[in-house]
Amino acid sequence: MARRYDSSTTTFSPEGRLHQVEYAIEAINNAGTCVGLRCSDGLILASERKVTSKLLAPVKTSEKTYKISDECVLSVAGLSSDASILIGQARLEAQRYLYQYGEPMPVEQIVTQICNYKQSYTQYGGLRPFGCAFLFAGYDTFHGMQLYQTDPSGNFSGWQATVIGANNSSGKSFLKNEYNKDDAGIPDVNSGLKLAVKCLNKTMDSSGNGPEKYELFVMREKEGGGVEHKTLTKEEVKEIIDKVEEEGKAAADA
Amino acid sequence: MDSIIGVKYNGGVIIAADSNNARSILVYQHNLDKIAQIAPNAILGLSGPNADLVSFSEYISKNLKLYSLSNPGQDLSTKATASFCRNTLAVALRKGPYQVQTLLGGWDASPASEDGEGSMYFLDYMGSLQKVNYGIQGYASNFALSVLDREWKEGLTKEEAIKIVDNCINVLDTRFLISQPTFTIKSASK
Repeated sequence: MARRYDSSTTTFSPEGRLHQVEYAIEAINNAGTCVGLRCSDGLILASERKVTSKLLAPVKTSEKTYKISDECVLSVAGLSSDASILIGQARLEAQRYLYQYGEPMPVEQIVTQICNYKQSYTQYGGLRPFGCAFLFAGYDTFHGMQLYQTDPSGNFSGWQATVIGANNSSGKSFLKNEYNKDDAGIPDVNSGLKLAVKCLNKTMDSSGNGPEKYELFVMREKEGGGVEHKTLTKEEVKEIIDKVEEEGKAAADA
Repeated sequence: MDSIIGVKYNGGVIIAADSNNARSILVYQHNLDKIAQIAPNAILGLSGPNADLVSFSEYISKNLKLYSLSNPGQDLSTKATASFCRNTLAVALRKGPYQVQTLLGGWDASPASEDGEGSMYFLDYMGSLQKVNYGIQGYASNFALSVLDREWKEGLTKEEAIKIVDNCINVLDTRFLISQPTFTIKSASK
């Protein structure tokens, strides 16, 4: 029985597993889905806003997407309170680097720092792991636009397109078929946004979703260096949802 | 007492430093290398007490090495290297200052030019950092800065830059009280 080895994060089970870490990963599979796509001219982070009650005040800024530095943004799946600590840590590290080197921190280094921080909660202190996964989208002069996925174990990997949160497996299999279909090339941001919405439609429980259920964010390179961040307005989101619906109907009729 | 002279040319930088190691009225050696290679493409000319020259340059170069090992394929630009040096000096200032006046010269690849470009930074012991085309640390500046002011121009070749440094050293030979028989000269380029 695995039970006796469940309670402490800092103990391996006889099968060589860290159950607390695995349970933390489970917690994320109940959270609002996040999709990340690398496009030819930018990066997209598309997230599902889980609206638990009509009484909730409308979101002022972002619920799922957070700015870490001028060149790095992340979206969260999992416990928001845990995420909040890690986001603060990431922002601090990014600024410390900027203070010391006078240049923006390369994305992979931000991701590594946060992941090392997450890992330390799986090895010492007797504290539980962080119950959140991130999609990091960032730009640096070494590798251009990059997309990374992290999980509570402190593992991370780089992706062209990926999904975290609820129903991420169906989202990922959808992207396997549709992203860079038949080696046609990776989509540009405009097609990418439609692809992201289609992906979220697949992973969301309900259908016929209004624009307030989607949070769409785009990062693009700016002329003369740096990147611009754009969170789409409700109207722009609606446009895309409508286009996707149209295309879906046209494909069904054809 | 040390003289450090740095000149930027088209595609790199050169730094020259006198090779005296002296304290008070005694000269210990005439062949001390005061230009440290802190990174594959960066050189740091230092002036000050021997202990600080060594401890500062080794601290910087080992930290830069650690960075390049931890982040393979990501070489710090000269600007970032200079910021790092400045930060180290600024933090140490209110604890136990490094009494070093330095000139940092480095080479970076550049989209604008096949030969890349050189950049030079004037860094003093209090942590002031300034990007410059040429610079001098030490008493030598009183004598040779006017030579550089007159002779430096954009787009110098390496040979022209060396000639200008030569002219600076000649002025020091003629007018500077301290005898500096030998100089070391290094360059950072492609």
